[in-house]
Amino acid sequence: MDVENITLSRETGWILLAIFSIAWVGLGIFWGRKAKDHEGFMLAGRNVGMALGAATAMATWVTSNTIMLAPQFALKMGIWGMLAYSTASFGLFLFAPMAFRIRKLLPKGFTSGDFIRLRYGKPVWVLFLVVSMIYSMAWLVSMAMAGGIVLQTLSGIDYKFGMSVILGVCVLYTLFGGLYAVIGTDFVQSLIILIGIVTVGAVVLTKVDLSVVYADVATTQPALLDVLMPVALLALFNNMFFGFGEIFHNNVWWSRAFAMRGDVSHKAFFLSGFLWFPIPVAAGFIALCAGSLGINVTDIDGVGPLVASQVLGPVGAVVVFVVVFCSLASSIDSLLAATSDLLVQDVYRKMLHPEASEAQLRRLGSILIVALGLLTWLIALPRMADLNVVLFLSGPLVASVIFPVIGGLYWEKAGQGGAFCAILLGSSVGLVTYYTIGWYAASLVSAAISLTVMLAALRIAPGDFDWKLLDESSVNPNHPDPS
Amino acid sequence: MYAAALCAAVTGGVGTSAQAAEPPAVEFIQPEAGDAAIVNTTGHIDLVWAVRPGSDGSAPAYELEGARSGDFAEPMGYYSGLDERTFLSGLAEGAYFFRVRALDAEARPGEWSEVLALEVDYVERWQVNLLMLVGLLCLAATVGIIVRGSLRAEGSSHRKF
Repeated sequence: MDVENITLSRETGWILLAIFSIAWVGLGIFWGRKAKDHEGFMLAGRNVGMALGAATAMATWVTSNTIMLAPQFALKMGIWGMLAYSTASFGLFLFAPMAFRIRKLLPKGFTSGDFIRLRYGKPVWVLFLVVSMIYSMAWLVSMAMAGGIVLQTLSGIDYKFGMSVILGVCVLYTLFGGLYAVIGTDFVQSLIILIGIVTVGAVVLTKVDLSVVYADVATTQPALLDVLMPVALLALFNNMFFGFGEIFHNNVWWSRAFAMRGDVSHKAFFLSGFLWFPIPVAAGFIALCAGSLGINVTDIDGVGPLVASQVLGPVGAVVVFVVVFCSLASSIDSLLAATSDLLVQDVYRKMLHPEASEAQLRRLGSILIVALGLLTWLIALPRMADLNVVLFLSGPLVASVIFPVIGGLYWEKAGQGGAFCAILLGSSVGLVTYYTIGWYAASLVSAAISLTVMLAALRIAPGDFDWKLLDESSVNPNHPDPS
Repeated sequence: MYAAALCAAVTGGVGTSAQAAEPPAVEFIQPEAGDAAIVNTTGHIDLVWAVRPGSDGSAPAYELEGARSGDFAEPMGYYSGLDERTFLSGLAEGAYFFRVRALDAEARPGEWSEVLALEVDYVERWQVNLLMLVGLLCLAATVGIIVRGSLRAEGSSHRKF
């Protein structure tokens, strides 16, 4: 049992939780009033500008995992570990030109599933939806778990209560406001996250002696300073491809590409990558100070908030609490909204009820947001595994979709068979790698298999896709399925 | 800092007693100590210990010690304090041995636990090099497809769209 490290009183924790819960729900309702129709609810009127666009992308990508897993990476893998986590920003850089292309190819698109269905046909679409739903649930569950863990670490509030409240608040304001509320709260949250992280990083730097930190790490954790540490080197590429897979396939990012104005989407994603890059380094660095500060790490998931709160005292703990709450909220809301959109558009509207009215779609979207929240709560409640396990098990699945997505966007010759086999084989071999070699190689192997299959399919059975089929606004709504 | 925590526990948190009983026996419960060394490929491990069931008394504090040889010729203190677990990382390749014991209210030590042997054996270097090469090729392919595709699409935008 961790008995030495609790920094805030339980009462303070509950008061902070109440203040921010009321604030997010209130702001959600305020911004949500703009959502007059289903498209407004889903895509914020397709008119999001540069500042809000960059802020929402950055805030969404600063998840609780960034605040909690980046320090874990640093503590497990040293300098390379911090950089490995930062490589997730490369996904935002590369998604910038993709967003531009997406807006041009699908001017009236709603979801990433739309693209896959129109580009590759139903079999690939179904496989893609399975991968996307597994990943989205893993991400949601890991964030809900992170919320409970951080509250318990900082204030001693029971994991189950903290996790339930944070998840409930995010469900509530996403329910009221849709993407308008998500993007509006993301803007406020991104400012708080940036200011909070920079402040914590700067204050920690003034409180520790770097030579002492170095000497302690060199004595007790020598491998963390080894530039050739095998696990760390592998994690560098593995995390990069996991990040590519997450961003390139997930509807969280596609919905933002559709929601932003066409002329700003690529700039907004590029800027968000720059804003995001230093955050894991700052969050990771403080974990390396744990040993020299005499802090016993009992729960690796909470090492970042733990060290920050121990160094900075109760005020620091409040700052960490607020930053983590913002990072959690900014990601959970986005994922709830984007995943419910995917289910409403791709499953209900496209598969079950093509004639559904605006009101029916909006009502179903709300029901699905609540249902997803409930499912996440049920899975996260027992806290069966650590954050790393929950999240990285989905790595090989999403990495297998990287090349089918970018091949589908840029290669006329990419076809259905190649994409289907690339996802299936990439995921399968990646999962085998996860269990036989380790999590630090699974996403990389999955991406490599997927690329090989896509390239082979281009040679063996090249397609010839007509890009105009992607624009549903210019063709018959019941246009032929490419399959 | 560990010493400070220990003193606080001994003097403030637990109190002192002239007739304190012998500190109880302690054992590793995760991973469990055994005859064979535990093989680890990552260089980090979560150690959890507790008072051995059936052992009399409670332990106000613990002391965890490690060494690179089984005889603990050059021991290193890894933890001393109230917690019953710790996370160790950055272990270099090779053998490690750990033992833990309870400390009573006056910081008198009990008996050492059974020794936990750990063998850190990282992924083979050739495997790392191969996977790094694969990573570089995949990265080049990803960047190449997106950049080249975007430039081509931009160049032919009037014709295509």
